[in-house]
Amino acid sequence: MKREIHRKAGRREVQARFVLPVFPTSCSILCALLTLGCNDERRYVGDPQVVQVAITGATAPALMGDGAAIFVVEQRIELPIRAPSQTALADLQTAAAKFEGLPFPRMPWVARDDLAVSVDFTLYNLDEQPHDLTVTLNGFNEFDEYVPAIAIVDDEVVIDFSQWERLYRVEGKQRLTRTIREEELDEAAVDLATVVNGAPSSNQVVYFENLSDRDTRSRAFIPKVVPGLAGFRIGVRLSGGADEPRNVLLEATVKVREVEDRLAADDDEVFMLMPEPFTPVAPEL
Amino acid sequence: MSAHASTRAMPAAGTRPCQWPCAPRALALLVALAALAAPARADTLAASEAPDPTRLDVERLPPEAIALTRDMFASGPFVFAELGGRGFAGGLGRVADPGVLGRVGVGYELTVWLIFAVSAELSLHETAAPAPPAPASFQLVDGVGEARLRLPLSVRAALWLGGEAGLGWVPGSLLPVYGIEDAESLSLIYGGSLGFDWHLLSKHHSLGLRAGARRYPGLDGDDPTVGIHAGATLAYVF
Repeated sequence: MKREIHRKAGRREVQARFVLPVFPTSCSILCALLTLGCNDERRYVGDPQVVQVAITGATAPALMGDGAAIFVVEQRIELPIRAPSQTALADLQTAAAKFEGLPFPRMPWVARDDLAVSVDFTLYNLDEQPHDLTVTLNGFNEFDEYVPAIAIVDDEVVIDFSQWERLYRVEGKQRLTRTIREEELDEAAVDLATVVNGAPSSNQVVYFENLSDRDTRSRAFIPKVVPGLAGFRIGVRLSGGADEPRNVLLEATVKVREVEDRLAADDDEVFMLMPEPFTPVAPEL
Repeated sequence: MSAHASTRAMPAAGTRPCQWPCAPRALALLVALAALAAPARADTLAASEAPDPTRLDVERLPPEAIALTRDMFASGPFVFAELGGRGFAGGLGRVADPGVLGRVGVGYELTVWLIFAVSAELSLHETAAPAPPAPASFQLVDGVGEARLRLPLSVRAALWLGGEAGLGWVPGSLLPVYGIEDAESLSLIYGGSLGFDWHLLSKHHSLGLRAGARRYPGLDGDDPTVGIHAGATLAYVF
């Protein structure tokens, strides 16, 4: 019939055979994209999902000296971990017996590679003058929480390293945006397990240039089982004059890539975590 | 070897050797035959060159083209695929860039002027808002049903105006970070499109263009969200 139309119309036949495969091809591509879209394993967590901490004129100093002060603000973010069943918990306790010398009472429900966490943050300097700002992050797992301290030793202020920290100079009325990558938070998880496993110098372990898999001093204390992070505290630290203007804001979002099914859905029970604070230890001199 | 050579040089047994040269003899024979045939061939040529206005004129003209009519093309159920783009105005438009749009669907031409269709759409977008979070991509999935009123402009061309309604959904938890809380839930969508169809010189295939707008109440941020789409369509009518 098609040929007849063209013959009667006195024209050459139009070769439109390519059109038919377009539909199944398009269907296949659309189905593949739909599958990818529906299988999105990213999840932004937190309540609210954009975490804000700020240092303002009303912020009390964490430490104050002769006209100078250190201001620290932090926000604790706990990942919504799905509560394990009693059977699963019992299995985790039984399994821990196979590993001698673990610094945990049982195997972790959230292991190191179960959740991949990354943090996007933006740092705002709302003042006219520049500020040197340190963004800090300290993690916790099901058992322990890293809590660095600020101390005065021989009239000098000694600030323990955070598990992740970076110093930024932010010009007046400017902002900067950075991402704490998955592997950096993975390193924080390993560091936390390492320091609670008896590493003699916590600051050496958590210092950002000392990567666990390369530093022989740390490697000896990495336990055979490393719990994954179940949350962290993110904050900003500012050192300066006590009377100087200080209006600084940190906004952060937490993205979790769920490798194993550990995050709680809306109707799931959330795992209540009570980690023990761990204060960094230093070697005896 | 010597026996073979003598066989080729001598005529075969039982045949007469050629006493005249062969070529002059054959030429003479042809001339004689031509002389006999010449009067008859001249008569035939004179008869074929007699005026025959009908036959000669028809041979020089192209075949007469018949007029195309709509019923030469297939009508009824059809499938279609579309590739285009979609952007947003209002709420979601403040945090998302336009992106590529794909659509597949099936439909039925009830009459020349009334068509029903259902389709599934997927558009890919990237956020474009101050961090955090860092820019990331998301997918908008729509399922819509539509009714089109078609106005034939010619046998091969038609304009149509369609109204559509369906459900939309953005998988993932990215958009709630920007305050679009209901993005993860299925929500009602509605809108309309204006289209142009052009039938190929094929019984089953046609091309089309479409542009339209759609409300996405589930993607409202501080303001209502309107999606604006356009695309090119390939259709196959069974």
